Amino acid sequence: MKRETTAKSSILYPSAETIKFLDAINAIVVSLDKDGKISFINKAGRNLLGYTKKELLGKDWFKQAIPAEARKEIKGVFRKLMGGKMSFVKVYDNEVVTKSGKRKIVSWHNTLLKDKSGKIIGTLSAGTDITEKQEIQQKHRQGEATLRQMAETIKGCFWITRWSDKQTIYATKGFEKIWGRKLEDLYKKKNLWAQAIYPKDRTKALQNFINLGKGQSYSEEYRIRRPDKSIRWVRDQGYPVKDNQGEVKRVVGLAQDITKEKEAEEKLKLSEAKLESIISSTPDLTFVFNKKLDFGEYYCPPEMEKTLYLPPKKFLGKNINDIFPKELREVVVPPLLEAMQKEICTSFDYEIPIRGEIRYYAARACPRRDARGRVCGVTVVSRDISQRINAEENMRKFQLAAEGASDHIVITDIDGKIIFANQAAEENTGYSRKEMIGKNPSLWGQQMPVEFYKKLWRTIKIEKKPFSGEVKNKGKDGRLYDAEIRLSPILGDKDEIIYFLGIERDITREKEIDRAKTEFVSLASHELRGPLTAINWYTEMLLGSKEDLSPRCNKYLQEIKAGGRRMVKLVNALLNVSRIELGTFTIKPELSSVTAIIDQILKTRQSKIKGRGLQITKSYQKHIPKVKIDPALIRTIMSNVISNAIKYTPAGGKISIEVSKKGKDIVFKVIDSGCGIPANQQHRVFEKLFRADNAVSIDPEGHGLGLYIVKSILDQAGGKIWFESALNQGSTFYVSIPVSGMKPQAGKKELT
Amino acid sequence: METKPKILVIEDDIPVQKVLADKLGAEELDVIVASDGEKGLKMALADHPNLILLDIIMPNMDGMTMLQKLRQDEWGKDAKVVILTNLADAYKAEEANKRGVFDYLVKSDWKLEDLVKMVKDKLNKK
Repeated sequence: MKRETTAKSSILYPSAETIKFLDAINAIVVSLDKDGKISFINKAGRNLLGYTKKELLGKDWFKQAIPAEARKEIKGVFRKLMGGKMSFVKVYDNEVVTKSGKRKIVSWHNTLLKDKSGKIIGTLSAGTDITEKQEIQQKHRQGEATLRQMAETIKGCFWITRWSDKQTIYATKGFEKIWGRKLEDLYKKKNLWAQAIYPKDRTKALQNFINLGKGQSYSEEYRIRRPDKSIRWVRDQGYPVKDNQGEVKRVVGLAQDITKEKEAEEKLKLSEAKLESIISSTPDLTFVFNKKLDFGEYYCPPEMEKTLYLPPKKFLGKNINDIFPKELREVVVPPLLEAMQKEICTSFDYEIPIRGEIRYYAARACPRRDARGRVCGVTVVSRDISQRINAEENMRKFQLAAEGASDHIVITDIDGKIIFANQAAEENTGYSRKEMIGKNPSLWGQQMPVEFYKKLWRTIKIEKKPFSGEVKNKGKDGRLYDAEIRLSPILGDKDEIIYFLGIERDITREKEIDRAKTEFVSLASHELRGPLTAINWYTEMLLGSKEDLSPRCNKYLQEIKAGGRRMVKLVNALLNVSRIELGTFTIKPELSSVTAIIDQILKTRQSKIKGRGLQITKSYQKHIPKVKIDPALIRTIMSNVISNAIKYTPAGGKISIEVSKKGKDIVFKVIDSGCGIPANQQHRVFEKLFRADNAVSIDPEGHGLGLYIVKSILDQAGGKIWFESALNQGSTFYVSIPVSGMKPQAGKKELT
Repeated sequence: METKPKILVIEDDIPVQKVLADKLGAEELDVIVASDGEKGLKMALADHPNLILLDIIMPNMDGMTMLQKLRQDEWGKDAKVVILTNLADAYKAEEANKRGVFDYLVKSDWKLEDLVKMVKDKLNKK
């Protein structure tokens, strides 16, 4: 305690060293004796007041530094203090007057100085000049007051938020109206503001708010959700308020309800969009001209920009007479002038070459009027009708071409009503065009099963694919005729059916000729077989009669019998060749066992095999699958190959038959130890009527058709035949049939 | 006395018709003949033979027509018929098959002896 007093009294009159120190600090240090005289003032203090040391030391503080109006009051307080009549005021602010008369506010920190006995001897005060700070605060206070005043009168919500803890410290009543929430709640719940924002708008609004901290103001529109679930649009503007250090202390803002504004805007947008969609959905080009026929505004659907005669840059503001070539001007200008002169709407068509292609337009020109109702120009709306014109043109060209065609041509609309028929159609059906137009082609059709027509319509109308087929039709006179028809849907740009094209050809005669050809063959064979049957059967009767026949007679009859048999075989072979060559034989595949067929063939050849002492080896791979083949054809093929092996193998020889599955094929292998085929003749083996020299000498009765028939059948049914052969050593014939089976063929005749 | 089975041969080629009648007659069969479809139909409906051998190409009425008419008759619808022709035609064979014939035989491919066997065979079948 003692030490403390000593220290303090020495501060009343500080030592030189202490003064040095006190002069060095920024704070103002003043000590007054108990009479209020300045016993010490440091440099900062003197600077503030603008006096020299001399002018201050020993002088009355209150006279020298305190404004006159406050002097009495403050001195009174000081006296009371010194007399111990008043409790000590540790911190206070007061104004001081400088030498130049300026007023400064100083915030003081005071200490009472006492002597050793505890008697008050004076004060020591340390002060800071807070004038500027005070001024700023004052201004703020004034500003805020004005703002508050303003704020209370505005409809929106004016708000102030303390930045340090983001606490809203002030908001006007407008908040309650806009947010539909209590103002107190805003003060209580810091995040109420953020929570009320419509979720989609929240992130951006919060980001804006955060940016206030970086000194950035914002103006933002966002939606808020009120407790009653209604949505309001708010335009919120926020400003950062900085202190003298440049730090954001508060943020202030104004939020306004702009819901109605927004709604109106939305409605406007909607109606603009509607208008836009209406305009863009019309394919028309609109041009506005003034009286001199300068191009003004224009409207063009975006996808049609390419079809403009010139790019907009090149015609906007230009005169029509400078842009259009003469022949186009002659067509376009008069109706525009007429529209303006007679004040009527005029219609006209024009064509214009665009990118080397002529485009056709149908246009309408109407006069434009100014505010006073006087004609001030003309508006032209042009519609591109090229597609229609081209379609019409194509149709006309087509009709011209179709008219003279020998095929019967009919065009129907999408419902099948005839809109065009050519002359051949009249000749074909016997109906006049008058009778056909507007009717359905069923007029002369309807001779086929219902399913046929169902399939036809499904193909052309639903699948939009061409249909062709052979039908029976009925002419007006009741004549049934065969027709080959080809029907195609004609599609437009958007893949829509525009009409159907039907081409019909009367193939009755062709069919008759075809029929005659095949009938000739069967009739010819029938005619040949008739007498053959008689010869063969009578020979058989004679040979079978138990009557005496001379050995010579018997021998001759045997020759007749053999000749008859050869003849039968030849007729059958010729019939087959003819059917193969006409393509009129049937291939009717059915699941069959190929090995069973071979076994059957061998059975029928049993007597011959035994008679000649041939050794037959069969070697069938296990599990040969049944395949889709025509069993009759396979029998023909294999019996030819096996018969050849038997025929050309000398008595006692060996024949081996193998069947195996190799990859995708079933392969038959017939190996004989016969005479073989001379190397120089091997390439002719499958020729019609060809016989190798050694074959002729072994069997003079063969006709050289067997392998030709076999090869031809396989070629058509989808199989192969080949061989390996060496003269006098034997031949190996291979036949392969795909496991997938034979291709079906709807012929008219079977092979015999 | 046991009645012989009756066979009707409808065949316009007279030599063929005769040789068939001779051969089948020699085999203890009662053979009657007709030389066209029309006569053949009448005889069939009158005599109700046990088996009919029917040719196809014939004057007046061809074999297929005769068969069609025969099948319309109460007795004829189940009558045993074998087509014996020289016309090799898959369509005809199929059509005949539909009309319920036993067989479709090409004459020139057959020996008389085999034919007799076939006929006997058919007769034995009920």
